[in-house]
Amino acid sequence: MKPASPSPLLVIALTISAAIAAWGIVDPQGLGRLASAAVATQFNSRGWFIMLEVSGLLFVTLYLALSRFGDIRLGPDEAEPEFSTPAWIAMLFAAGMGVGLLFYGAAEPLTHFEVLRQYNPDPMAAGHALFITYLNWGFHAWAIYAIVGLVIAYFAYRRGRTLLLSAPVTETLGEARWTKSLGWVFDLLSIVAIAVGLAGSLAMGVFQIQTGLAGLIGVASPGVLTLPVFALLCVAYIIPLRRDLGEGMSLLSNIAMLIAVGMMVYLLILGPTSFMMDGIVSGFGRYLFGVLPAGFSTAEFFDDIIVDWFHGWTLNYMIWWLAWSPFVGIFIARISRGRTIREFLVGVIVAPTLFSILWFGIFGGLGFYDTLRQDGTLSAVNAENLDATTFALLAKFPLGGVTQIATVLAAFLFVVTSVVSAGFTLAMIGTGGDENPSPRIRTIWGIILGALGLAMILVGDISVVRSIIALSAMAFVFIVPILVICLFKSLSREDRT
Amino acid sequence: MSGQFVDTMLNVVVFAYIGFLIWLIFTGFPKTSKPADSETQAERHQNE
Repeated sequence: MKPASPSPLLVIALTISAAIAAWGIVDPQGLGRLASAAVATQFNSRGWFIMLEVSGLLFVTLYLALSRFGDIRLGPDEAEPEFSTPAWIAMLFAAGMGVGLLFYGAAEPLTHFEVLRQYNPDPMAAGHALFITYLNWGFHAWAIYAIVGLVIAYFAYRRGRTLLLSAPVTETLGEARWTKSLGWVFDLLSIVAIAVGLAGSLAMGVFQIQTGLAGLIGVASPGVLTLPVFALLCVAYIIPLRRDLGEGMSLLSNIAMLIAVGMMVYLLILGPTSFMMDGIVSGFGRYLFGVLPAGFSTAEFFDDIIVDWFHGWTLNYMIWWLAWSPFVGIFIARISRGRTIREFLVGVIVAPTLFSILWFGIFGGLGFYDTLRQDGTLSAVNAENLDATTFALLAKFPLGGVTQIATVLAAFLFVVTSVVSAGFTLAMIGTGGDENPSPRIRTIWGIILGALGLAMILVGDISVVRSIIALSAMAFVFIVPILVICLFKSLSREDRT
Repeated sequence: MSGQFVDTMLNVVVFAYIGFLIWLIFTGFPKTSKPADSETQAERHQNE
């Protein structure tokens, strides 16, 4: 049988992604400069709108969970959830986990601390640093994922449409030419955002793995390991993309998650347990009662140091979550069929946020303990190289070599499973919603992701990589509210019938 | 001066976008020639 010709969406998406990759490989500094300048302009002018929107999304999720719409099931009324609640929550943790947590566990709170201690006494700076980390990784992040996942799940399983972002538009606005065009643009932009976001994660994984390996095998300059690590990762994800390993991939993802959770528990027990628990409890309280007003903060009236720090972290994160939202949204939609909207929102927002609070409380707490009660070597390492902070922290504990190897392995598995999953998702969107896209298309996406990842690696600076991701996802600031309105229109239509 | 102009223009686009959202919320969507199939999956299931 002659294979169907590729859709224009797939061809254009591949071309745009390949063009960005080629630009990044030929002129990484040029791409980085453009992205940094464009993102800085956007953040300076539209920072207020981004924060207003993400806070608005959190309020929307609260309203949906508490209103009568919360009883609506993501599927037919008699549908039962496909997975048990514990298994579902474990999968949500897996969605939220990733190389980012390994990378930033101690590095992020310590970086905030170094900025904030210039303006505050150390104890206050440490408390606020943990608060800002929770703000960046907590309810707002998961509200973004939840609302996009909810829109996808509702229209796919309740309204019988595809898992694409175009589905809500054509379902709610009708199948006119302009609505189809708008939906097509949404699908295209979601592909570009997923591809660039995943490539950034791939680059981050390479930086982390090479730093860890360099420390383990005694190589002075981690940069010499970049290409071998990158090549190994590419081989490791291309194989499962060519052959559908199904359960095998979920096993690898679970192993990575178990390593990460095991390490967290190990550090909690062997570290200064009461110090960390004190920090977690007070940090959680501060976060719980301060999260809503903080979500509206825009670093107004402050000097350039604080404004740049706010743009580089909190605003960047919010855009980052928007960039990842179609990818994570599709995943959480697929595992949530048959749940009510209320169950969905509570599970997706609360469970992973609590996990982030524990994770950063433990890793950040250890960083603060070292800085405030010991010699402060971790702060020095962090100031020099963010990639090395997690490994420097692990080296301070018994069996440091074993935990560092485990971290490298977990980072490797997180990157491989994320890229494989992204390859499937990109191929699915590009083929108009085919949930079993052909191995050929998946492999092409694997190659494009590899090329984009190489471009990000050549850019070299992780903050510039974040700017490129932010630029690729900027359109989602405008897409997500339209999706939310489509959801409400459809829900109220259902309410009337 | 040009920075201020770009800043203003970027915000004007946001204001226009907010206006569009408000219009979507309060006046509904424009009529289209071919309305979407509004049968829910649950209904389809029942019909089968």
